[in-house]
Amino acid sequence: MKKILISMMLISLSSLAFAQDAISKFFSQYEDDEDYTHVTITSRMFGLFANLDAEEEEDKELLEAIANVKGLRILAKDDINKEEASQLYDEAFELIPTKEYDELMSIKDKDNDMKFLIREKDGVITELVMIMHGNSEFFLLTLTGDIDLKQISRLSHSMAIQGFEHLEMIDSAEHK
Amino acid sequence: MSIEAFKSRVLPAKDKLYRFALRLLKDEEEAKDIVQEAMIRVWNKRAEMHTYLNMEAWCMRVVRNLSLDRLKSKQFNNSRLDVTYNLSAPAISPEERTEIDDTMENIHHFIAKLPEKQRQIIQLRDIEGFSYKEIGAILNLDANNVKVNLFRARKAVRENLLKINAYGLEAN
Amino acid sequence: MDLKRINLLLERYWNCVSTVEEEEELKAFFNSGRVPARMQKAAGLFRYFAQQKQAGLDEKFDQAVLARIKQEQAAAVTNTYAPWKNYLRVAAVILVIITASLVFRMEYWEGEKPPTLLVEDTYKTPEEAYAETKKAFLLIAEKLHTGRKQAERIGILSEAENKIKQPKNIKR
Repeated sequence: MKKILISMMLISLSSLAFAQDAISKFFSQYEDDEDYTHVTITSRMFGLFANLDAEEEEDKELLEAIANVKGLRILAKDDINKEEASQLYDEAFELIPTKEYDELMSIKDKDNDMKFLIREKDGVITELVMIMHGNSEFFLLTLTGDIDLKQISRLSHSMAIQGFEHLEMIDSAEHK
Repeated sequence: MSIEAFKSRVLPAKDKLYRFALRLLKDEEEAKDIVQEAMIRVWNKRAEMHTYLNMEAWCMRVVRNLSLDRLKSKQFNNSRLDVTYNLSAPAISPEERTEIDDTMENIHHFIAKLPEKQRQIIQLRDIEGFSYKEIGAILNLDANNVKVNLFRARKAVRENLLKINAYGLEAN
Repeated sequence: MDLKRINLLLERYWNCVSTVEEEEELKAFFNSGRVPARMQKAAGLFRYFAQQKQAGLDEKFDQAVLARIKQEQAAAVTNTYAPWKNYLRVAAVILVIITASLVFRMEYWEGEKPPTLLVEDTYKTPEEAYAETKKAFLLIAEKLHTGRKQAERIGILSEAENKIKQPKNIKR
């Protein structure tokens, strides 16, 4: 019963966290559209990660980086043309209350537009928004909770994805 | 991703994937094997595809990693330093072989001896025509690094070409 | 084709400033058969590139891959997800609680909260959710890295770094 009560509390808190998430509006607009890829990972789920066994060093690092993350949402669409992609990108910016965010980084080149927006409170980043489009895809991600950007940006070096485990190998082979 | 999407988006990349694997492994059967393995892996990971925006680059990466894995496990690094080279034009008699044919064969053996990274970049850029950015995504390098390595590779190839024959290369 | 242009393109090629399109132009020219004698070496190189792009895999390969996918699918259906049964149970319980709490909330705070309260996890098991999270974070890290590299190039690195290190300074 205790467990249930704690769960209830967590749920209430996490729901509140999402209610504050200003981008929900944009997400909910495409919620029922099956052409989009939706991903939602709530704080409940993040809580369960603690039960996973982190055998690999990279998993340990990741778990550390997400220890205080409360929610992750992704909205993505691929196989679209460039116009639609950039249209979605613009539309997202219309709906996102950009005044409430600070721009962390903006990358623009021939084919891609990408922006990182953050919201911070008392020196801690509480929300990270990553939004981008390319020639045939659109991608929006929001992260809520206490976010340690430094820890996250360190991941790219230490972490590999399935099938990519041997990226380091070639370099070491060449230094011989 | 449905099986239809797989057929239309992943399968057509097979030739590129095969040539890349072949460049790394220098063995046709092994290369074919690796490409099949990579495709199955891509299929099994299809749910994760959308965050990797370029499907082809993803597939190339998988092929590369599997190939390197294979190379490591078999250690046929040493046993296959050189590759047999077949001219695609069938039955060329010795008299008909031109200087160009000889050059092509020479280049083949020369590229096979380039450092791994340069060899991969030559394959991806000069043969397959990928952009620097795509190559960076496949090899997990930044575009500048790709360019530096490509420059070295081309320079080495050029010097080799000039060496083959005294009356050299028309490049300026 | 204009030889002057070919020479220019070659020059750009050796310096790694040519575009993919320009390199295609070179391949097309040297494979056209009308190559001046003094350009034989370069012709050998670009014919080699074009020739190497001809290797590929046949229909049989497609069939083999698709057959294996069918196998995988069949295997996936029969697989009982035994190790994760516990998590499934936990997830199911949580789902019930969520529903209950949502009903509760809606009854008492109807109209006050936005509909996003109905947010549900996409994944039912922590393993799947974790895999997705991992991917997402890798992507973020990769992009942050790209951004940093670009910033470095135009010399605003220190500014961007400060922002990452000291988010307090962000508000201007």
